[in-house]
Amino acid sequence: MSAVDKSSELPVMRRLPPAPAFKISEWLIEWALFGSAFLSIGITVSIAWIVFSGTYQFFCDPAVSVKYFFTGTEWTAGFEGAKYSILPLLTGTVMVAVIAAVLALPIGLISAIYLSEYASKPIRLLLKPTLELLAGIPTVVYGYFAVFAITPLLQMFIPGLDPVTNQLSGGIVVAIMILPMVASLSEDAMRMVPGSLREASYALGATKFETSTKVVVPAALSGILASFLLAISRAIGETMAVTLACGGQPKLTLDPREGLATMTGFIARIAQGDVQHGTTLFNSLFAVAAVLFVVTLAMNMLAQWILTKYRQVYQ
Amino acid sequence: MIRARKNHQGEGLSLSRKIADHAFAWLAFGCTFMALALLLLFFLRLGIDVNSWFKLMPERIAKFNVEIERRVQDFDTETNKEIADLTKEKEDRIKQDPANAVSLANRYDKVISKKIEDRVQTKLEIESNLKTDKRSDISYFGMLWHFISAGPSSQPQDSGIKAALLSSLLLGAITICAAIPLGVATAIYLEEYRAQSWIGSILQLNINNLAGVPSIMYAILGAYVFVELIFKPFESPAIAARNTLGGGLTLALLVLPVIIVSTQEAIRAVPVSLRHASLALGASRWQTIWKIVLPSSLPGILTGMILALSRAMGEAAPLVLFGAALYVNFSPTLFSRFTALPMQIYSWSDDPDPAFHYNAALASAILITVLLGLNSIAIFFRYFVQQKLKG
Repeated sequence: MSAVDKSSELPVMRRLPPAPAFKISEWLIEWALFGSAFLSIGITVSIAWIVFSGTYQFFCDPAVSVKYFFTGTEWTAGFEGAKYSILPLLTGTVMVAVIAAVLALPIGLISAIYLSEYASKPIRLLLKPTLELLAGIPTVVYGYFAVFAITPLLQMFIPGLDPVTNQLSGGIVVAIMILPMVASLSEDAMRMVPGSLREASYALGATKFETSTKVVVPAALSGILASFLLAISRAIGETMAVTLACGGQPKLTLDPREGLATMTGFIARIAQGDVQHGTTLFNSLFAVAAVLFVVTLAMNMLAQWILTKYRQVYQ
Repeated sequence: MIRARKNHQGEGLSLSRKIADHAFAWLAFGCTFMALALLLLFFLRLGIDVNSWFKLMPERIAKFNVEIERRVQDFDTETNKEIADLTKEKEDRIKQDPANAVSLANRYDKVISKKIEDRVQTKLEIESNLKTDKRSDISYFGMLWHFISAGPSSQPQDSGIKAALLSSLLLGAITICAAIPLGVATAIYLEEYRAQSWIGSILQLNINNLAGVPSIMYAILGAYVFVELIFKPFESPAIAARNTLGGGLTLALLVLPVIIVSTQEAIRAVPVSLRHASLALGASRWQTIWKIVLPSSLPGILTGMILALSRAMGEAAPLVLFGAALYVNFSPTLFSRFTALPMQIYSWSDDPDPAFHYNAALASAILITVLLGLNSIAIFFRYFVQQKLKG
């Protein structure tokens, strides 16, 4: 009852919950909740700490040079006279991400336009859950698909394709994986655009195509860009499918018909072997993880920033 | 208000604009359904491979059965040969040394009878093994049941997913038990206590970023925290350093953002008027949350839980750094080593023997069935149950 008394002293109740009387149980609960919320910060901080301290140890090794790491051309970790340069692994990752983005972003955006602007309500009600269902297929299974379905199919059209592991099948399968994400998130953004904008456009004599591409898409651009960035970040971080599809050979080549190890693939393959802790080979894992962490974190932050900065609030 | 579905019917519209309009409509339709067609191809391929498994495995089983039977026959001929050799040796020795003929014969007879006893014993053992190794049931259901109930093996036709399936279920249970309380508590704190404050926005930013951190990073975190820091000091025959509990907790960290975000959405959907009414009746903040907000957002929380469960059961990347053992021949417990269904699929897909690839296909089909089942329940909840609650 004291809670009521105290709030009634206030002239105007501005905040939604009334200022409560101090109660030890309420206080304890709030701190317990704070503790579990703080854990999520703890996860980020510990990941960063583990990865960067491992990276520091890696660069302390006399066999490793920072300059070669960023400008060299060979990654021969685990061999005699090992050379450590991130570029071959980065090439593998970038190639997969580029192939996936080139395929998935336009198709995803067009699918989103179809779902949001063209599809009738029953079709949308059917398609949207189906798209979300696809996100539930485990990535290992997509990897299986890349190796045993996409590669044999591509071999029919592309001569010189490596029949076991190649970057092209990895990129295509990652594209299939991120497509539902692009379509679903972009569609959400487009649905937030108010109908009045569309009606105004139609009233000015625009066709449906023009309304979609010149009014709705620009109005939802922040959400669309954010979905693109999140999808690319997911493509960069994808592990099991690309490990299966792209193999474990770090090479510096731009030929998508060959198999190149990606950063995630390298981490997964090293992790499977029995590598002694504290060796340079083991620490190199942290250096690769650090690059991966920085790249994906930067893309996620950029996506968040675009979303908050350019969010259009409609009445 | 009437929503303009079809605008003007092409009056005064130039041809190029008309063509562009129609072409785009078809393009959009095509793109959407092409994506679905690819998936159809995917399921078709999986279906073909599963079918091949059912075709190939009876052949393999028959071949293996013949081999086992030949092994028994070989054993018999070997026994006969050994005894014949011994008899011959005995006769030779007796011929060489006729003076000791009786004692030699006795000694050899003893050796021979012991040998026969041994061989008979071994043969019995082999035959009893044969009964378990030899598989007569090659009906579809029998083979499928063997696949689900058998452990790993070096023979593709004998391999099964029992350990992997049990591990995955156990991992899923641990994940949910750990992640649900933490995730829901975080969501409540964010939505009910710190909705508009700077702490809230930092936490929110952090959670959104965590959702995008690659799953392999959680592997590094889990391998360090749960293996190196927590379970290594307790390592003993009963407690493995890389145990199921650690794996499940790692997956819990991975799915935490999924649970937090879906719980937040559910809490946000609870009307403010309900909270006002509760507070006006003198309930405290926590009483309002516990008795009003949480029950109303239960469907959303359940949706998040199911999505998190299916994500946890489908992920393999966080477990590779745990060295999730590929050859687990026992039912996993909380503190034993473990494997997981996705890991099993991964290692089978990577195997040079193509017969294992069909195993991978069948295991994938089983995993997909489980996960799509879970996901469709979640989607049903989100689209229909929640809509009803709102309306």
